[in-house]
Amino acid sequence: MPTGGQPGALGGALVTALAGQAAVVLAFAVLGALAYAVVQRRRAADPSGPALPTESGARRFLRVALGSLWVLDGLLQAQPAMPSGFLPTMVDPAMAGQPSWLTQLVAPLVRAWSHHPVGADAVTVWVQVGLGVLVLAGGSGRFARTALWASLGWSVVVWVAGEGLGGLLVPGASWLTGVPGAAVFYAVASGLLLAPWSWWSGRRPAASLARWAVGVTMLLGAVLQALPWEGAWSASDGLSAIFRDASTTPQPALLRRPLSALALVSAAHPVAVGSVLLVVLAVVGAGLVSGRAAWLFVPSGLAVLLATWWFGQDFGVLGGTGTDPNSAVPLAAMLVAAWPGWAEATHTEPERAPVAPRRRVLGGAAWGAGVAAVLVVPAVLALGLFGPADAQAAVADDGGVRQLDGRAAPDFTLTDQNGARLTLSKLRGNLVLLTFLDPVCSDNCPLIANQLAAAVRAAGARAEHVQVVAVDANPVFHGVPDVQTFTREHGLSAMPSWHFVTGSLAQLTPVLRSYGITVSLQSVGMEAHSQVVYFVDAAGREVSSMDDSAQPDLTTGYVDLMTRAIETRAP
Amino acid sequence: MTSGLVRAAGALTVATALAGCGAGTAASSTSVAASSPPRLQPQLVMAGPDSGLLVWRSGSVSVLLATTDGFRTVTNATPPAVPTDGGLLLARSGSHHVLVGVLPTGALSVSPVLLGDGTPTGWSGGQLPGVLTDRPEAVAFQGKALWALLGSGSSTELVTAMAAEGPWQVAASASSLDPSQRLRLTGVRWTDATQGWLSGTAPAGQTVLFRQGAGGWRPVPLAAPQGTAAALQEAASAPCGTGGDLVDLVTTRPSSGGPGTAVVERTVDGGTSWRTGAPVALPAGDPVWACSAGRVWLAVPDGSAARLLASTNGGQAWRDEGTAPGPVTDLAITGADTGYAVTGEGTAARLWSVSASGQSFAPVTLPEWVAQLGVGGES
Repeated sequence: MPTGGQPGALGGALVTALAGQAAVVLAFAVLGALAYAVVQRRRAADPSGPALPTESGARRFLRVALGSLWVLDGLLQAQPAMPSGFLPTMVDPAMAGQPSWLTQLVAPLVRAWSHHPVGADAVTVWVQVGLGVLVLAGGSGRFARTALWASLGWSVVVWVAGEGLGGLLVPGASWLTGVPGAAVFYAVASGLLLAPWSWWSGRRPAASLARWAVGVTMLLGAVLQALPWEGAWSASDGLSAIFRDASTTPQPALLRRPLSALALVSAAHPVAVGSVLLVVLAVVGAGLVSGRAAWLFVPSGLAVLLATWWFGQDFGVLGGTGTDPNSAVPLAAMLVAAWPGWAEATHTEPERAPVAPRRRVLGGAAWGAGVAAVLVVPAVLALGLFGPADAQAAVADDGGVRQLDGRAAPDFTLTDQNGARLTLSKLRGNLVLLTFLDPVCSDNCPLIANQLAAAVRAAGARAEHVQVVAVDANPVFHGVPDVQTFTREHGLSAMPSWHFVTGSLAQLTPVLRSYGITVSLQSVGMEAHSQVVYFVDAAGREVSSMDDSAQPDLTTGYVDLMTRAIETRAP
Repeated sequence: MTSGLVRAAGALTVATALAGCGAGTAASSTSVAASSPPRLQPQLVMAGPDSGLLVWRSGSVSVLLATTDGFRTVTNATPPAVPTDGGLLLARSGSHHVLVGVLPTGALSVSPVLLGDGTPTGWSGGQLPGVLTDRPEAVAFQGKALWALLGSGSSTELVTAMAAEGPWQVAASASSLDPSQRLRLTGVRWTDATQGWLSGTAPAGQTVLFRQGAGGWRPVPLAAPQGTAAALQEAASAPCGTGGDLVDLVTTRPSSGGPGTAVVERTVDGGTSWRTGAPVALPAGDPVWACSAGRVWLAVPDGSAARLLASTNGGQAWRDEGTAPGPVTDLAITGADTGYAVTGEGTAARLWSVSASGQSFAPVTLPEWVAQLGVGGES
């Protein structure tokens, strides 16, 4: 799924940190290689040990696919944009509209990430890379099973905290966008790999379970498509919006044109297109669950997954800086593993086959690196995740976007530029962009106001439930005519969502104080005040803020940042 | 971080300049036709022999300085929380109340005004419903009422309010006073609580004067020196009230690059009749004048300096008092024969203490911190 952060100082810090930690991982890889070589040599010298089972092709395929996905996810997580971009563009949208118990459950992790973005991201990188390496290393022993249990557990963590239970509990859930989440299939795949190896032979119940899981997921997708409150039948917000969003992501024209056509067709005929999707999912899903005609339904299922990956999921990463290739890929891996044509594997070998020295070294290195990546490095890093916030986290590097703890935005009632009373809490249900401006400012304040307006315009229909509230921060010029003049002179009168509010000093002072806005009068010239934009979500919580600490000239980059924030947070 | 990035102001072009002196106060001066934008010029508004206010340039911004001891010490009285790099226009009422008009700059596209009560925190701010006319006489007091001239050219209008916050109401407009739509208003002054004067420039360049009466603003015929009425050049000034009904006004006659003349026109009957004084030759450039209690000082450009003339009878007779040490840009009378003069413009301006009606100019040294107030760009 995509995220859109931009690299910066935090990205550089992440690269530096990962480089140092990689040295530790490599050291453990060397130690692992040495240890494994010794153990294997002793076993080779003792041919009386138990015979080892061989792994079926289907299981090996699923294992390699799962391990590769973990490694890929880990590497994606290592992108420099992740420390600052992961929360605002991945977690925040995933948590939007979720029940409070879920957001409270995730809150400590969010807080830890926001305070230690580099450390938290590094933990995620190493855990995922390490899990991938361990799964790829394979084996049938206790260590291999432990690795698979870890894979399953981490999948659950990602599913809950990173994917918000795959969006199952919020309106708008759709098969096309990846519901019920990619991580849940990592967990399912890990569970299938934990099944006894005998389940991959004979009647191959593990393969049947994989096929059944994919089929049930498709049936779930059909149900979600059918439920009217999920909005999939809407001409403007249903499938057409999914296709339209997908068509706007950067991609070759060859890939984009079908998406644009689908967006048009589904906007014109939402019921017809929705019905086709529903029927396809229902038929293929039912076929996979039934287990009949696997030669037909397994390829059909793969075709459906490929189409889903293209038309609904941007190939996982086209929509931005991805953290995983989305749900279609692990589902496809399970479906391939369920293909009935895989060759049977023998359960055991009569004698222990000699292990090549080179393979011994590689296997040992993999285990050493995996253990270091999953346990050692994250354990050390975790010690620092619950301490005071990193200095580098105080101001994020992508223009000042900073995650907040989600405290209730202090309420106020002031008077807007039209003389109407405005109460912040009455704007709930909207994303509120809250800022503080000086109506007689000759430089930055008009710029900020215009960038907010430009961001709202750029967000288009996504800004339907966005309100921009500016609070007068000038202790001398705080009359309604002041904010009215500013509004008129800077072309904001025609913007219905614009509210420049003011009041008496007795009214303004506590408001400014409650948001941490400092105002100082200079000996000459404009007053100086904190420049910040708070993002107050539909529930009235401060979810993030941005300021110009890292970009004091307030260039047009803020429009992009605010537009992205609107697009990801607007209800 | 701050929001106070101060940028250098660009120059504005103005055609005329007016100034006046309020009734019952010590005088200040007027530039009859400024050679540079008034916004860049200092402005002296004295309230007594030793107390007054001075708009001064510091770095890229305008600052307001206050003194109570003849500029031996000054304090920074610049109104807070507003950019001042566009320039400040000043009016004063009584010993405390100050009205400061702020000229636009940068993204500040209309003019704020501030009303001060003489204390550092006693400022209230508001927004004019437009852009201040770029003339020193564009803001004025009538008792506690505030007046301001907005706009430019034939779209100028006069607005009034009882407080800086408004509401501001249009009292007159150039288009309503002159249906030909070619009048431009240049200054407003109240010589006492009931005598309001509104000056303007007619299309041909001659001075047009209006006085407020029961029916609104009515034109006041000026004395037209024989054969020159049509040739009266740019509006000379808003009237200078000197007590009672005595009002002086200085006008100039065309010079067109060559020699011209300046005359005082005096009325003692509220503008019903005017007496024209003796003409003063203007070798080149525009004179600056000041009046107080019947006295008139006139600084006539003379190369890189200026001659200072004084009259106590409405310009019927002049005494050539001496030579100012530079081109005079503002002038104020504070006593029988004392006052202050400013020479030069912008950061090159110098303040002088004038005695013996201009026979002596002593430099006034402002504290070093004054020059540093507007330096640095960040306010």
